[in-house]
Amino acid sequence: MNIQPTPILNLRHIRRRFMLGETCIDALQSISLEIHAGEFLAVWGPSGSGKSTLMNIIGLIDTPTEGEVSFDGQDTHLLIDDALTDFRGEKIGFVFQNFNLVPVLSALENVMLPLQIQGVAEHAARERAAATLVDVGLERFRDSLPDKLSGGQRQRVAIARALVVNPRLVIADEPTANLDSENSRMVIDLMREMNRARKVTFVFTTHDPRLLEHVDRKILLRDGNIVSDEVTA
Amino acid sequence: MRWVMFEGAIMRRLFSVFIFGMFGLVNPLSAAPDAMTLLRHSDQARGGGLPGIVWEIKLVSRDGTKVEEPQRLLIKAVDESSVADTLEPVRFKGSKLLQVDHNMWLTRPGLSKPIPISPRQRLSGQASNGDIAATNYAADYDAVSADTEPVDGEPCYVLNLTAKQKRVTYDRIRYWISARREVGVKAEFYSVSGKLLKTARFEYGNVIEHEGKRIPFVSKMTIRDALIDAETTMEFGTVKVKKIAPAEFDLGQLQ
Amino acid sequence: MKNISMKNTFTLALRGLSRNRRRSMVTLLAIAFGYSAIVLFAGYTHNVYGGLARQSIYGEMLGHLTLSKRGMRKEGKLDPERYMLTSTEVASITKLLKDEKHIELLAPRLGLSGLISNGRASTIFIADGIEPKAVVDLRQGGLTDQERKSGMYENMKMRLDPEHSEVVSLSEGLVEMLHLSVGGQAVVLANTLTGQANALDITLGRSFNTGNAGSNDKFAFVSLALARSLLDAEGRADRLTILLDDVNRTETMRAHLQEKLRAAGFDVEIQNWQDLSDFYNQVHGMFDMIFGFIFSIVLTVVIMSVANSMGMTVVERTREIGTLRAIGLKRGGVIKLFTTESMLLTLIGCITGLLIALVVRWGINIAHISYTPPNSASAVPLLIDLDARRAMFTFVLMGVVGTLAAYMPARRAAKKDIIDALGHV
Repeated sequence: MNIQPTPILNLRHIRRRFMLGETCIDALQSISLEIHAGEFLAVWGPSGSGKSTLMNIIGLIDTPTEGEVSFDGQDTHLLIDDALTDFRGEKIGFVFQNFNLVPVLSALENVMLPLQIQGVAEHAARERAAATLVDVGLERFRDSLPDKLSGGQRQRVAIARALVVNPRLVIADEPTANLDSENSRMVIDLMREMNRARKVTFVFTTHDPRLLEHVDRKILLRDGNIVSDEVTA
Repeated sequence: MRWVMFEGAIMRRLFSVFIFGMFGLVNPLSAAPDAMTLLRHSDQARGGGLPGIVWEIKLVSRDGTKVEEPQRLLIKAVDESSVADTLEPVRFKGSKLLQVDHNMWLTRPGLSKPIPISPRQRLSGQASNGDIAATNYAADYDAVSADTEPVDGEPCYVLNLTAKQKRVTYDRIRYWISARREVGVKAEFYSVSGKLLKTARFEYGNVIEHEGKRIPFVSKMTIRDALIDAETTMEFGTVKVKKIAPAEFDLGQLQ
Repeated sequence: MKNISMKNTFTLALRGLSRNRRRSMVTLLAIAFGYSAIVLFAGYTHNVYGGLARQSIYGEMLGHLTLSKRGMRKEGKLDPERYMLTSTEVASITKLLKDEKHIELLAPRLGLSGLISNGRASTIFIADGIEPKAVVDLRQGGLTDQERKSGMYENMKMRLDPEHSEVVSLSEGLVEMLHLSVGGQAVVLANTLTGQANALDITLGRSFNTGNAGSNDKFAFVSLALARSLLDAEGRADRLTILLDDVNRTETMRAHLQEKLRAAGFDVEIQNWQDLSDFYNQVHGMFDMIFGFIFSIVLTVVIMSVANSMGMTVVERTREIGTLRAIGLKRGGVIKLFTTESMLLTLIGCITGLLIALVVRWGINIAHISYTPPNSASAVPLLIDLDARRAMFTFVLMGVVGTLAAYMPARRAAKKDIIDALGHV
């Protein structure tokens, strides 16, 4: 067995409790999990199992009620607000179920966005964004507005946006849920390719069995707990 | 020279010489009485030089065609000072007009303080009569004989009076004094600029007794405004010589 | 810490405005019309003030400065003789100020009151004695070049006759009361300074309207010579009217002359035309108040428009905000973004408003509309200036206010949890 390097993500005894009026619900009860760099893994399970909650915590857009989160060895549950936001913007990319592209910006401008938010000069941002669009095969659509693109194309733009900052990790929450089978396949293949080419860790949630076929590792959640954790590849 | 010498003045002069000669008076040409003396005598007939005079006046004013309500006043005067007490109309009874040394005040029952009457307010109205009915021309004016001229057939000396100081209301007066009676029968009042402002006519039907002498006293005064059509007639009655205490003219005791 | 740059914020904010074109347009127009209303009204009042200033200085013949003996203003009313300038003082002061290069005219003035009579009736009058030449010099300064060429100069209603000191100008009410006609004779009766009765013949030269019912049956302009003769005040004056070459020099000249005269031993005080023109001050005050009122209303409308617009925008873009936050935009960045959007909207709105105002102004100015303002005998043209100072001030203030109006909604948006924002439908 190889000595594993520091996991990119280490979750220890994560509980996430939500207050709904007077009742409390533990979306995640006690999750402990290690994810290593370069993995291409899926978190799956029935609705209400806590998949989205887990993704939010991994993506550092939510903080656990109990437990610790380490990202690249750094305790992120101790970071607050602006520092957390910076960390996240630098290290994590997001792909959403609903694409979430800014409708008044072109594809290129959408991809430039994370760089601009980090203060990168426009010229440099444009170059990098253009290059990333090439990587996802959409250089011909760089000046198109999102409403002129198909669902699959939009998601590829979103992927480019997620990748443009050279993140350590890309979180994708049900990335193929709003796509037809052909586009789903394209998107999955693209993510797989990016994972291999750029060594970017991909974690996503899905219902889609086709996606589950392509992953290296499957984590099954039920009622806020990990029920199984299979490595397939 | 603002004194307009009327046409025929020369003629009148000759005429008056003839008249005086007819009446056998002292030769007018060489022995015309001294102007100041004449003035003083004429003042006496209107109350000057006496220890005090008290008399009643009935006053009627006409402004254009409007005739104002007649007034009855009780006047007490000594030399430069006079106080006029309103008797009628009854609703103004108790109003007093005080004149002391070119200053004038009005008071009414109900007023807390007497009101000073400014020179402007004396340009017209009843206050203006006060300056004319003043009794002591000799104190305020220098007299120079000018002429002789008859008034209503009566031969008169004409004197030009000039104000001795600049606070006297009328800068110049042209005064006709009866040669026989030595009383002023007519006066013309002029402004600084030489404009005729008022004309007054005097009648002397009253008689007063003083130090054993019987002195004629003014009985009627008619003052006509030269600039507007207005006229005031004052009839003087129940005239008495009486010493008047200075307290009567004391502003503080005026109420 | 890395932050989104201002330039990027600007570009994003600009794009943000096109998110909901219609709403942005409506808010922009509200701002534009509000701003143009302020600019137009400010321009109008500016023009009115200018006209009033000219009216006070030249029309009312106040000149720029009035010099009088100290105490004249207050005690002088009751005891004018004491507070009048003596003939020596008038002469010396005139001589002393002869070489002042900014003084165009130095005119002695003498006020008096008395009775005026047409032979049948008399009434009181209040007169201002002034040299006939000074009347012309003073009033012609208030005419525009156009008016001067048209011959208005010749017909100026208040001209006195330099050859005949007995010619006077009487207010219309006075003329009517005394049944006089031009050339008609009357007599004025007044007291000299020492209280003696005095009277002079006068001839009616012209009649004029004071513009004020209370003074229109009392007022008169007479020659200085007549006033001096009537008051027996040879060479004297109760004040000196000083006309300068430039109205903007008024305050500096006042201080300068005051010092110069005091140093020479004259106990005088100098007032400027604004101190003395009640009408100017009242109208100025009233218009300032109305301007403040309009300004407040417009500002309130702008705040409410922007706050409303931004509030709705922020709610609509909740998911977008969540996304931006997720990909690294800090809370402060969210606030900056929206306040910048709002600031841009306000600025563009103001610029649009300025253009609207300029067009409207141009239109009104060439339409040659005229109207008769209160207290005036004649009509004046309706003109609108550009009050740059007020326009600038309003521009800046509206920019600030518009930016701040977005602050609260933006803050609310920034504070929202990312997961709630993302989950927003």
